[in-house]
Amino acid sequence: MDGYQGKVLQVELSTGRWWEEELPEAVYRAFIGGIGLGTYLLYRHCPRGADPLAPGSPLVLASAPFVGTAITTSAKYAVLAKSPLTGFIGDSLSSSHLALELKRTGYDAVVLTGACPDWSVLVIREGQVELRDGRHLLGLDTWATEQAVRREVPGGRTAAIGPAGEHGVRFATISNDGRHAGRTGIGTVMGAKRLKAIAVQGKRAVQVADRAGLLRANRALIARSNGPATAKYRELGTPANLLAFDRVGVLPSHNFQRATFDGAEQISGEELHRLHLARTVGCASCTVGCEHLYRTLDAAEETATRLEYETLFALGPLLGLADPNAVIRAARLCDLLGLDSISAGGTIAWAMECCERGLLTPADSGGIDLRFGSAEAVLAVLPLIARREGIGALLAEGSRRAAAVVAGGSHAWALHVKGLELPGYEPRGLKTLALGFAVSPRGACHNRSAAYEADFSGQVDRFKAEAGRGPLAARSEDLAAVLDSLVLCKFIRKCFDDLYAEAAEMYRLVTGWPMRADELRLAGERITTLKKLFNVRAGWTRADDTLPSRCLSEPLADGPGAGERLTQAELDLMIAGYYAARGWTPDGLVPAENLRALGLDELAAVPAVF
Amino acid sequence: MIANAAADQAVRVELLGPARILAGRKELSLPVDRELTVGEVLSLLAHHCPALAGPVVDAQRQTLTAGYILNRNGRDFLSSPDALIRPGDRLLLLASSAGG
Repeated sequence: MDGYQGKVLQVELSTGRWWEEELPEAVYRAFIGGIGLGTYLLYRHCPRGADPLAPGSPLVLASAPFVGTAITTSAKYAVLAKSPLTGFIGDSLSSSHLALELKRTGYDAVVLTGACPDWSVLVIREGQVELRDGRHLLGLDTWATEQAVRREVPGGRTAAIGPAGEHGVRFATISNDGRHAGRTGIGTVMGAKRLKAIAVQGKRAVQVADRAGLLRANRALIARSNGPATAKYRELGTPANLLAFDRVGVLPSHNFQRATFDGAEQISGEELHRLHLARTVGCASCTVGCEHLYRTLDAAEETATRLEYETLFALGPLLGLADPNAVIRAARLCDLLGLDSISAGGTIAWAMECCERGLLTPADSGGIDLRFGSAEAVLAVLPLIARREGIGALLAEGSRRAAAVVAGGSHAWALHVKGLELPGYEPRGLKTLALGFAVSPRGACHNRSAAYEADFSGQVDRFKAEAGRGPLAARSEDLAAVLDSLVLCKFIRKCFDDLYAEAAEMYRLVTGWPMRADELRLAGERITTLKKLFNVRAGWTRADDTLPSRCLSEPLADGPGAGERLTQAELDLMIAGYYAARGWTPDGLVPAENLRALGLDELAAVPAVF
Repeated sequence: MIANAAADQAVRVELLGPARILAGRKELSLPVDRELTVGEVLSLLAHHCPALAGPVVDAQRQTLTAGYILNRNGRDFLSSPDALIRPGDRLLLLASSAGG
């Protein structure tokens, strides 16, 4: 089977029993791979009403047809579970060598159910699955765990959790090659299964249908990937966003109380590049090379880590921190502890505002003075969160649950959608993005919907809410679903003249199966719709598609958009436009005829297999 | 260099991201004493900051290359080369891809 390996591995961790399943060709064609195939498998295997941390809740790792081929930026794998943070679909992507090695094992996906009797390492080779004792790895950080397992499985590649995953922090990550499947608490699910690490090792090459044609198409794509459309990523990486967002008043700071940041220049990607850049690297199979590692320059022991915009925002302006050395150290801590830096920053920002308003005191936080701008507080509290110690036990629950405990109206400054903390975009100054955040099945997310592109394009008035934003948000979600399923990195999305047509042709060259642009677009809609069905089955209601109350009740305090608002009525108007664009009911449910048109009717009617 | 052009007869352009690295400067001031189109401003920009001509500004077509966009006064992203710029306006020249 060209482009695919043709098998899914299933492992029941409680017993160590494993078996292989062949999926029908129609499933591959309908759900492509990556996030799409993973969503299909999660939908099938996750029981209705399952507790995300119960043994019966599956953890799914999914590869994709472009992985292991020559196609640039395709070395990614998807990992999915019911999110312990949101209670809805949790999905994440991570890049590099693990993705290639996973595909070489001969499996297109791995479905893990049950829980190991004690802490273990799962070793997967084609036709050989082994659970090894992992107790000696307990307490190790992510990088130390990866190194240790790679010594124990020579030639293997590893995915690991850090202390945060061991201790059930609801926003724990899975780390591989120093990168992270970061959002929605995927690492928490792995920890609940008492899996400290997964090692994969394989030899099975990926076959493609038209090698010569694919090489030609890839050469053209590589040439474009080295052009101006990706200059930002190559030159500065995503930290370039920070100063631009500050200047246009959409850089959230001090827990979204402001839309600019006084220290923006100091902590900008431009200044990091000038003063702190250690080196740039790229993922496996990538010709862009966006990854920038920055080093500290203060008096303490030097450290270096990669920084993306979201981490820079969440551990910097969101917390009032303008010291790049402190942010680099905090980012490094999140990486090693296995914490999602966005949710960690968002939850600490909530706690800082609680302190500002007198709801939390240093006595509540073991003497840590959690005030905005305190680097000492941030660096002290992150390890407490990862180990659920002291105030960390509360913050490990994420901002939504922590606000329910502290009460006192603190939910008003818990900045999340469906329980997932907001990334670094101010919804009140980017109305299409605001809609994308509100309706995303994953919760507040800039990766499963790039609706902000309309706001930044000049094609719409970014301060205006209108029903016409619905189709824009829907198209953006579907495109993201396709990119996340083939897989292609979103950083090259501007390198195509006609992305659907060119990607469909590449799919044909890889698999040998005919694929038209409109069929690929429909696959994106199918995948997004199946995520919605998963959420509906998990208890979603119309009330879940909303924004934090701060975004709907307070005007922007500063910046070029000072005084701009987003009202509940405006958001409702845009959401109605979105549901209409998707052909959903006014309550946001998917009609039967819609399911039939997408070929989802039979799947929706079948109960989960376990 | 025209960094001292009077504020009411100038358009200030702040360079962000790769444009700043290429130009080796944070901003410049263009002498503008009447309303100009974006295209005309881009020609001026390429003239006064030659490092941007080519990788950022297509001076012949009076457009930005793929990957860049202008913003006026922190509010409006300008997609049309015919959009008007007035003396005293402040422009941001930034990368158009916002993701990450």
